[in-house]
Amino acid sequence: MVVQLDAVFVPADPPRAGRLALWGDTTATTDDAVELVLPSGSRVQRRRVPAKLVDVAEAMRLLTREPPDPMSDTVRAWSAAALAGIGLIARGRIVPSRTEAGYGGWRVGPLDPDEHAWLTQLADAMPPQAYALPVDGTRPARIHDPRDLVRRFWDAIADTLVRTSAADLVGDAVFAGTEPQPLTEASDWLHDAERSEHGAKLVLRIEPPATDDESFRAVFQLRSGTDPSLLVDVQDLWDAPAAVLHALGQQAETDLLLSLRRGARVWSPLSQSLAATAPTDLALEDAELEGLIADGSGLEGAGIEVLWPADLFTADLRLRATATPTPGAVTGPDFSLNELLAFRWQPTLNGASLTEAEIAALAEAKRPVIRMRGRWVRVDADLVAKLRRKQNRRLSGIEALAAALTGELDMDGERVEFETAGALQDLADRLKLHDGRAELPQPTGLDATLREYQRRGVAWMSHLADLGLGGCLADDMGLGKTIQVIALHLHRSGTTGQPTLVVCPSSLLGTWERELTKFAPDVPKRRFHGGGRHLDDLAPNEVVLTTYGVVRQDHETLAGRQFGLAVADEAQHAKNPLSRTARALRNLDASTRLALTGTPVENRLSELWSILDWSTPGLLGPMQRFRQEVAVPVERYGDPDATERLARLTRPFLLRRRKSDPGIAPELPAKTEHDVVVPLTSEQATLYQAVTKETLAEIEQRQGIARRGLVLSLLTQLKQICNHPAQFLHEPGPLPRRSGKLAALDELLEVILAEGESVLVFSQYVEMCRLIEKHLAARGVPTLFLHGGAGVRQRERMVEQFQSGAAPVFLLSLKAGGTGLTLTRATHVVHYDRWWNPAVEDQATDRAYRIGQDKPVQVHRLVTENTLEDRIATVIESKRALADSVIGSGEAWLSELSDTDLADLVTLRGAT
Amino acid sequence: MTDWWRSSGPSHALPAARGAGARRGFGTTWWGKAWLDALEHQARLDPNRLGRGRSYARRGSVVAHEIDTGVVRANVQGSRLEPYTVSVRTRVFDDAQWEAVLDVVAAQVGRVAALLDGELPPEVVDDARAAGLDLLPVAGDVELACSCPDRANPCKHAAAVCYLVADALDDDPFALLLLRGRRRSDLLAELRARRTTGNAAAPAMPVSGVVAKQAYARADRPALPRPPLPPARPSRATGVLALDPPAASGIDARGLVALADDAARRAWELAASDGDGGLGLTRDEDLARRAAGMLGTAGLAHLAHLADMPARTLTSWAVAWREGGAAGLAVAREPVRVDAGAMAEARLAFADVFGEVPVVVRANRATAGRSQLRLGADGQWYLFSKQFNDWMLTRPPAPDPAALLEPGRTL
Repeated sequence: MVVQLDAVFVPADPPRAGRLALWGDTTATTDDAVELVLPSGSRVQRRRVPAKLVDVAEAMRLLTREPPDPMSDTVRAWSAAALAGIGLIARGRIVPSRTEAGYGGWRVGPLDPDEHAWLTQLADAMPPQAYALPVDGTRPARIHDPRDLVRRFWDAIADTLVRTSAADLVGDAVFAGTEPQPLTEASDWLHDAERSEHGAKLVLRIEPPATDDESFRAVFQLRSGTDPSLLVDVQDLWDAPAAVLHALGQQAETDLLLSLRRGARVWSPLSQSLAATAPTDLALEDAELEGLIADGSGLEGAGIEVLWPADLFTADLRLRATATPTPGAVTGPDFSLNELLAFRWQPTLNGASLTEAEIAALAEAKRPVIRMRGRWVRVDADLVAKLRRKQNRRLSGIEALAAALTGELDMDGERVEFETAGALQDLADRLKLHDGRAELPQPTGLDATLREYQRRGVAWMSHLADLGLGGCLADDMGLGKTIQVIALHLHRSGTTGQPTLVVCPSSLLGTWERELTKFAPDVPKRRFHGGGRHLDDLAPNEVVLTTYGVVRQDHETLAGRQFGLAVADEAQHAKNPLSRTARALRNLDASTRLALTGTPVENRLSELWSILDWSTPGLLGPMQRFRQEVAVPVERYGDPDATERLARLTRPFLLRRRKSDPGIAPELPAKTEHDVVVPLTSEQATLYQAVTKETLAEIEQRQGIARRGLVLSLLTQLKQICNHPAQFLHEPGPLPRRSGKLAALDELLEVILAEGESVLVFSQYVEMCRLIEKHLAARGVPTLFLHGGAGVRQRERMVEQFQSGAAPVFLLSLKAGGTGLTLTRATHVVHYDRWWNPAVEDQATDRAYRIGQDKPVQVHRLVTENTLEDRIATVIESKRALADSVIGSGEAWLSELSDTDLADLVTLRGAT
Repeated sequence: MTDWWRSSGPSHALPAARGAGARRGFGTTWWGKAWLDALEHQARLDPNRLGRGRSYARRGSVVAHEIDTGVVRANVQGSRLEPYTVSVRTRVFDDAQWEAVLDVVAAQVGRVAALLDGELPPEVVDDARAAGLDLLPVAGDVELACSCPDRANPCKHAAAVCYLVADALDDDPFALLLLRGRRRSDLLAELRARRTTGNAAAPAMPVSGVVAKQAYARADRPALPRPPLPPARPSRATGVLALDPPAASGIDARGLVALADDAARRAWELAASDGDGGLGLTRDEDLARRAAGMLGTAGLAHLAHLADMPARTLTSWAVAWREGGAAGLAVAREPVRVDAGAMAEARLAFADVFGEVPVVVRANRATAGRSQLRLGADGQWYLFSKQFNDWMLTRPPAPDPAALLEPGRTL
């Protein structure tokens, strides 16, 4: 069914020629293969396995950008390895080398002890399948050492990354070109660099002075390359060379001198030791000490380790940011987002605030380490500079609020602790508490009873609106976001006296209007859409319905109006912040902005940013910073800190309830039905009008059977046009942007598939089913299609496939799908066209909603607005009691209508 | 191809150029001084020629010199137009003698380290002398020749060269060993060979890999560690900074540093932001990207020279890359045919911001005065302005051309 690929890295010389082998897909047709040692019962066996071999660049993309879904443990391991290797190179751990075969190559190194430890941890956690490459000629069969294989993968990344297409203009072809080139001339210097990783390492142990007047010292030590726990003073090497060389290896002295030489090139204070005959330590000037503390010395890259006295780091001196109302500002008891706050630093030592005297001493501090409260305290030059600098920075209200919610403030790309009190803290606390738990009374004027979670949703939105903030309601489809917004409008329009603007995709415009009529019949509403649209004489409690397209075109008209509430339905439509739609949307003037979406935004962080940046501008900071500091750490590195920070920040502004939530599920009816009212495209409308006009004229001329035949033919043609012009014209395509229904189906599927659910799509026309099948195939959506011509076996197999999750969309023609099938995997049913017989529709719906179904089922009936579909639906609705007797027999009754009644029924209204 | 001594200073300028005209001494190390003493002694130089040779050396009259095994060749500018050719030959040791010297040096690793550190330990010379070998030249070891008509030996030209040789010896004692016939790289290799073979045998190669059956038999595997978060910003590749490839390797150290630093920056992009780390770039794109990092430096002209293209073209590419990335570069280069309707937007934008101005539209470019709007393949608009004769991209693109044009500015 769904294939889980395994990965193993196959190294090569030069390193960049290595390949990542992806194997385990038994269905794939590939000529490539990889030799592996795999378990076979309780034994192991060497086997050739078909595999897809990808080069290093592609492997990096695959492992760090678009990992295959679902991800196997081996791919997960190599993905972690790839990210870690790339991270090491980003830290400058990259050196040229001579490969075993004598080529010029690049390696990742040198590694520090922490990095070695991480590598060991990774190797320990890797499943053996990830390194199952055989070592030739071994018995019992051996496979590669995982540590070794990961390092070779890292080297391959380094060797690939350096050699971009114009690199050979910058450096020598041996190290910059893509063709393998042997290193002909002397390469001892490379050998030295390589060996330094395994040889003894120079360590500078920093020792604080006994008194304040003396300086810090760096004592030279050597750490064994083979046993990192072995640390010897260089003094001992001079005193008893034989013993030390015995312990550290005969090269130790050379290692030391080379280290000093190399170290002196990156950190000049070391050069004075080179001049000494037997250097043992080094007195550190304050500036030098500071350089070491700031880690700007580059010693690490030269393979030299700096060891600090433990207590220098336990004393945790840091700056905490606070914000207070700007002097002279008139502030009420509540925090206002329009307020600017003054920024101040508050230094703390191990969490405790410093006294004024201590702060003064700190600001005066001339050396990087001072005595404070009885211990040595490291003082960052940066910290002192910040303290001394006059703080003119002002925080915007939203910036301060974000800081108060997370407890952190972003200062020029650096996160600092933030603490506040007063009105701002009150607001933050109130937001934190009110996460959709409180309820609101039933709003007056609402012609429906809200479910409990809906009342909580309305209360949550209302609370945000009271605070002058916006948010995103991301409930699952079917939980009634529209009705919650209508209730909110009723609840607030009395107090604000300002109209509400609803922006939605045009396929949802009709649905919004219907629901408003149904649930709040007294609320004035208008469509700001189509020709002759205007915003004149807006009632204070009016709801204006418009589309994203109109917002884009008429942005000036709309921006000139003050709305109480602006709602963006299916807000993911405006997710590209650069688009004109998104910009026009941002220019709307509304006290509260509310985004609605049914897609799981919490998993798509760029989308979440766009949505919240519209509803609550500034909350998540600039896009670039959000990507770097939140989205990438969360999505790519699974960083718990960033995840927590994001949650703290967004929780008050994002309400998402799932159908499956324990508090929600019991409230949902087993089956909900609703009409999706969609507009005709202009192509559809033109065809519709032409056919109506022509055929009605002809009908007037005819009688009896001929007339009946013409009427039925008219109905069929009109229904085909409503479905899709291509169906009416019997064309194979093109399909997109020609049918309102198909667009609405796309909208529905986007949300349904994003929720991971399955859907049955019914049409009475096999031809239409085929068109949908083709359309979805072009969009990469797997479908199954059952029509009347399918044999029993075929039916059974398709049902089985659907129930096991092979495809999320099942297309059924009325005749084939009506009876005898159990398709309980589906939680959504779409009736693409109507057959005006509730009994038949129910029977189809029951495929999904029947015994064995433990989840609520939603039924979506697509209806084209102002067409015969729409009109007949109304007739049926109003004559529900008569349904069985009058229309139970199908469409025959229509042919008995008078010419006037027929014309009334089929003529397209409201069209211009 | 020669392993001749090279100045360790910032340039390859001759030593005399370092302190032209200054009254400085030569032979500041004890062995450099010993070299001069030996020569002065051997030649019984008259003080007159000695002084003139020194001032020749200070003045920079030695226009070229190189030290090779057993010989120094130099050109000295004398009173004639054509420089005189000077050679200084020293007696080289034969292989057996070198074996003895190597024994002396290898006796203590500290001696090698000192040599590496630019120091000639006196005990090395003493021990070698005890073995009957003089590392420092003695009378009769040095043979001087000059193409000048002066019969004196040495003449002032040869003397000038000898002073510069003393400078070279001060800088690096390996130059002295080179005069005795061994190159630095050969010496180090031989010394290394002695150290490894002379001591305990190299550890046996461990059997590589792990036993497959044991690996698969293991039941308890810990959870995968999370990859460490990337650093806040890329670091320089300090490991490469510390390398010092000898001239003989033919490898340019600065090139290696530039390659590694660039890789570190792109690795950081891969780790911490989006994009493919530059691996998908075409050669021109990569060139523009690299040039964008060199804008305002001499490096850009050098890169343009290497790429065999005019520096101003590369500058405009680099600016386009900085402001608009790959799409910016594409739009900076070839005009492309677009739908005429699409360009109407540019006309409107010019009209909106500047009123009635003549606008010329060709392909995807609409020009008004010194401003030009170009429509990119990405559907974004790019504003170019004419600087001298080149169109330069001025800022990042925008979906709305009017947003790029500033009303206050003249065309």
